[in-house]
Amino acid sequence: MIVLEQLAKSYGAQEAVRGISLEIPTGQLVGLLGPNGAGKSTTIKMLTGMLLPTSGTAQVEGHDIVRDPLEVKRLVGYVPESGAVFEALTAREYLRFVAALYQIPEKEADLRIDRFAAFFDLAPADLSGKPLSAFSKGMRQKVVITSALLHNPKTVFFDEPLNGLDANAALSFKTLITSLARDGKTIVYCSHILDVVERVCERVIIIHEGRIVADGTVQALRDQAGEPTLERVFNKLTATENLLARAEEFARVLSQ
Amino acid sequence: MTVRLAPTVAVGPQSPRPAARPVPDLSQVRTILRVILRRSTRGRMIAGRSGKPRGLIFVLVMYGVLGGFLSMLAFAHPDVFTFSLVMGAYTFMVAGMTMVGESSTMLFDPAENDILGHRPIHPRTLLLAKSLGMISLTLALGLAINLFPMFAGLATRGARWWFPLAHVVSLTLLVLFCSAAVVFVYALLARMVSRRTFDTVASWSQVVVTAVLIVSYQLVPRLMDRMQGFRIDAANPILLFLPPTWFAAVTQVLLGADTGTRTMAMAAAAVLATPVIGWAALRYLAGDYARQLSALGETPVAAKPEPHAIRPRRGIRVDALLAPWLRDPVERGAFRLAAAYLGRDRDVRMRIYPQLALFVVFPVISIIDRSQGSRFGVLLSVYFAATIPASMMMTLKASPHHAAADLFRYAPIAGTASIFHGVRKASLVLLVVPALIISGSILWFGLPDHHALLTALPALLALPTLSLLTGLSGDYIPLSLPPTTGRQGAINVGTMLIGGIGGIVFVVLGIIGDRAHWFWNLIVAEVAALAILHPLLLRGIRARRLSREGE
Repeated sequence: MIVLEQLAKSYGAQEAVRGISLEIPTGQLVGLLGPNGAGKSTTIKMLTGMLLPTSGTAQVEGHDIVRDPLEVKRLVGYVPESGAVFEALTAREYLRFVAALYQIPEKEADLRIDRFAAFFDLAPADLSGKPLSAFSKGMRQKVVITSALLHNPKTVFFDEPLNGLDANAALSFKTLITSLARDGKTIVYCSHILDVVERVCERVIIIHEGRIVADGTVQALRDQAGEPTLERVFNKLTATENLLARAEEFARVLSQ
Repeated sequence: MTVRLAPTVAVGPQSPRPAARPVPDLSQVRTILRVILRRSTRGRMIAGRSGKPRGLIFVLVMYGVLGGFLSMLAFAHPDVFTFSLVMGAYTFMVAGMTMVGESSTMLFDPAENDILGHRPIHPRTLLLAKSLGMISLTLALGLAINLFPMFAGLATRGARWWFPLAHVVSLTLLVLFCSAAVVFVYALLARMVSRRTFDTVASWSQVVVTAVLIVSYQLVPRLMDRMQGFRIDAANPILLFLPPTWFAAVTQVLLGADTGTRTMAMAAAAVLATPVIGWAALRYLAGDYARQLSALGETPVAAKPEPHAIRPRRGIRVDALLAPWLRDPVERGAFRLAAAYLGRDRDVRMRIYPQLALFVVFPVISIIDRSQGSRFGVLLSVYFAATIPASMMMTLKASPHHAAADLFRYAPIAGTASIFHGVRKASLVLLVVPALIISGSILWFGLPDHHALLTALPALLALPTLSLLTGLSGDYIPLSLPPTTGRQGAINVGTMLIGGIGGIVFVVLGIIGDRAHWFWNLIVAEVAALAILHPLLLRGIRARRLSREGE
């Protein structure tokens, strides 16, 4: 369960998030959308305890993000957009390291790592035999996703989790997150791939210029905006001009 | 089923085929160089408490202060050649070490391959631009070191009013020589070894280059000792083989102070060696450099076991032995992380390993040259050992993988004390102890007077406590800063100035205590003081809470 009340973050004069209020019940899979610079990452960073809000409050699983950030961090998992890992470590070393940060005993961590490795088709030789720098982007992303779920968090934030994943791994992942939501985990899914959000998420929140401009089920948003797809809804709510016409005009100029 | 592909869509008329560009393309060199310099000057090398970057200015000021101390030498009225040689030797060591430290990031940045690798840039153009970038940085540092000495040099015997100008010319040549030599060594390695061995060979070759730089620097004062008082005779044949003397000879010639055959030969060596080495690197080795650069950035597509596979649990055995000392799992994790980066990461190895040369060079020099007394090697070994923890921890703060360090921000850790201790203990176990064993063994077998080694005891006892001092300033998050130009130079100078002072104080106390026959009383008093100070420092570090952005 996540509750935000007038949550805001400013960097000097620049307001990144302008008083967002919302409630995400336990077990819901929510898509958090917005154009670049809309405030999605800032919101997620505040909800994961990385960033201190300027004003407003938020609670994750009943814990205040300002007063009790450690407990919040214990209960959430996070897949950052960067997908960065410590590349000098092997996958197993990296995951053990993450497990240690969450106080998971090494034996238990190894069991969980093996379970995830089997799910993501990571061979034992890959897991322990070579540094993460030698992994492909997709393999590295599997390790990052594993590291976010290793401690069995109640709430998970995914920021562009499909980055680099092949079609099979992406399909497995989508199935995994819907199953996790069914099992009672709260999932916030940030992505620019709207088709996936449309298919996977039961609720979509669109942020634009630090404010919520839409919140509802995919069907409700489509009906409300009178558009056939989520992509068109998104475009209608967040674009300042007719992008399709602009693209056509640009292509025409380029060919001259 | 046959799949028909759509014809390619023409977006616009193809650009006209460009005329053949010259190689190296000077316009591209200018463009790339401009970006390199912009990145260097805008880099967030060391941030102040306010979080505002201090940048290159901070490093230059530190080097300027060092140069200010050195310029005092001029007021002892040495002759102009001796003064130029001492300054040249010092600049040669500092500029060379900076060059060695920075060259790894500057020449071989795998991430950069994604940006430049697919652009129509000839390898020779790229190598020239990067070399010029390194030269500019080193020249700035060299000028900072020599800012005061170039004017103080007017007080030396035989100096003319244009000494500052002549000194700047020889300094520029020296920096060019250093850069050309470093680029040449790298390019040669790129040709000689495969990608798999390149990293290892490159880091160890840096250790050797550092040792050579220090030896070159250290020979100068020793030559001064052996010759007529505070004067070096330019006619000495041994000087022909010491690069710093070539550049001192350039100053001599420019001042018209000495135009003898030997001095002219040394000046000619300075003027000719640089273009020859630089030309060889650019003309013959640039292609291999480009291949090596692209190989560093390549990502394997298949999950095949590799011949250079990491031996499982190699690093774990060390910390298993130290289990009682690394009881906190976060501390153990940080220890392993530091151990892995020390052993495997090219960037970290290239920044830290060259320091290990000090632990061989100074003991060996003190054995060969007894003029400074047998305690000289002990003194310097302990001094440098005391600088290692701070130096390693500061070096390990920066990494190309800095984005991954966000993990420490969203993991449930209250403060960075455990992480700090894990990395600190790794520096003590994996660097300080081996370095002291190496230098201790050399001194033990080389010195007839083993009693001199005992004077290191107070400093050795204080080392673990001294290593805690860096934990008092801010959150310690390893690998969290992007590697930026000049940072390593600042770390080297900073730790030499500050980190080692504690070590020196304790060694000097040991020497005084030994001479005054209250050595063991001193040890007892020190142990008692450390027993109070150590827990206090630990408590201070533990009390720090991890700050969040905006706090």
